Amino acid sequence: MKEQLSDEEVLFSETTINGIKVVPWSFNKLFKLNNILKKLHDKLTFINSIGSKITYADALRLISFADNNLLEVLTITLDVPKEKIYELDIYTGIRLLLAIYYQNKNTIEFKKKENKTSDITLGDIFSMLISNNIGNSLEDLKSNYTIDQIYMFYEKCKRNELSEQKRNAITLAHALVYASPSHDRNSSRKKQTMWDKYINSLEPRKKEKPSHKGLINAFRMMGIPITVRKRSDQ
Amino acid sequence: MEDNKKQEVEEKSIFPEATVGGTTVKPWKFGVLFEISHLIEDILNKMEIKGVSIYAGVDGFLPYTTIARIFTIASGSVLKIISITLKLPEEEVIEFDMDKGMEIASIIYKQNSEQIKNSINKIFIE
Repeated sequence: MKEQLSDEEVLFSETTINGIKVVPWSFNKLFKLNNILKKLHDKLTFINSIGSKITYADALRLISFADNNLLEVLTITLDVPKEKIYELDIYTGIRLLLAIYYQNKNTIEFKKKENKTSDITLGDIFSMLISNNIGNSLEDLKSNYTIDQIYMFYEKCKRNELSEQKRNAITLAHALVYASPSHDRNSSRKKQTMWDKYINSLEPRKKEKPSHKGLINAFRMMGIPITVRKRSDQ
Repeated sequence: MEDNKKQEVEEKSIFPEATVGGTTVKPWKFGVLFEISHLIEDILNKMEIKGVSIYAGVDGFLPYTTIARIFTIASGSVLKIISITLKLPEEEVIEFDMDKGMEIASIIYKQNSEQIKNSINKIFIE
């Protein structure tokens, strides 16, 4: 199941291990790693299965996984030359590997379920983000945003688009009432008031302030008795 | 007899570097894993086929009898791992006497599998 990350986790997802910055994959990096990830399928399943109680046998099995594919994943993800990775101590190396795995677990898990398809294409996602001024260009979105960030912003844009459509529908309904024929002056005035109220509700500054009477009634409804002073009492 | 030997080897492997008969055994750098992974895989597969258990004792040491069996099953890979770890040519490693070879193999196993195991445990605790 896809793990739901909070907005904060998505926005501040990078970590630094021994001076090396680990950032979740962007789409550009995922495309570069695509073929390698397929080859690492069994190894990733094994890493997923190990818990906090690792045995000596598990440790040996992990060593046997350290092939060129894994080295490639490290160099591409971290943007660090192979020579530097070779010189790391084992503790740092394993921390980096596990950090990469856990940062990109959702993407890796999704890749494993290849039968999962969606009607929404990456083109749809990128074009929606660019039209909403998120990212300067396609290249910017592909390289400088993590995959989780892209999906998070896309969902937010989609939600905004839906609420915009909903508001348009409500406005249309109000407009239809407003434009319908009135049989008398009273009905016409009521429609005008309703329309003005609705239009004002769309602008936060113009939101109606509660009336004096309305405030008194609100307090009374809460059980707080309010008496109105007569001018002679003052 | 084996217990005394084990204690001696354990003392040597506690320190980052151990010296056996004038040969220094250093723990692997991360990069060494990429050079020896296929050799470890070969050993593990051969052990599995022969039914040799890879489970060490609670102290992390493989019994000498197990090491001896591994030598007979996958001597080529063991030789290469020792040679890479010690940065010595295989011809020189072959010249080690039996005791020295076994001791070095035991230290290499303990030093590194322990480190990997502890690293992962430490990460999960963090």
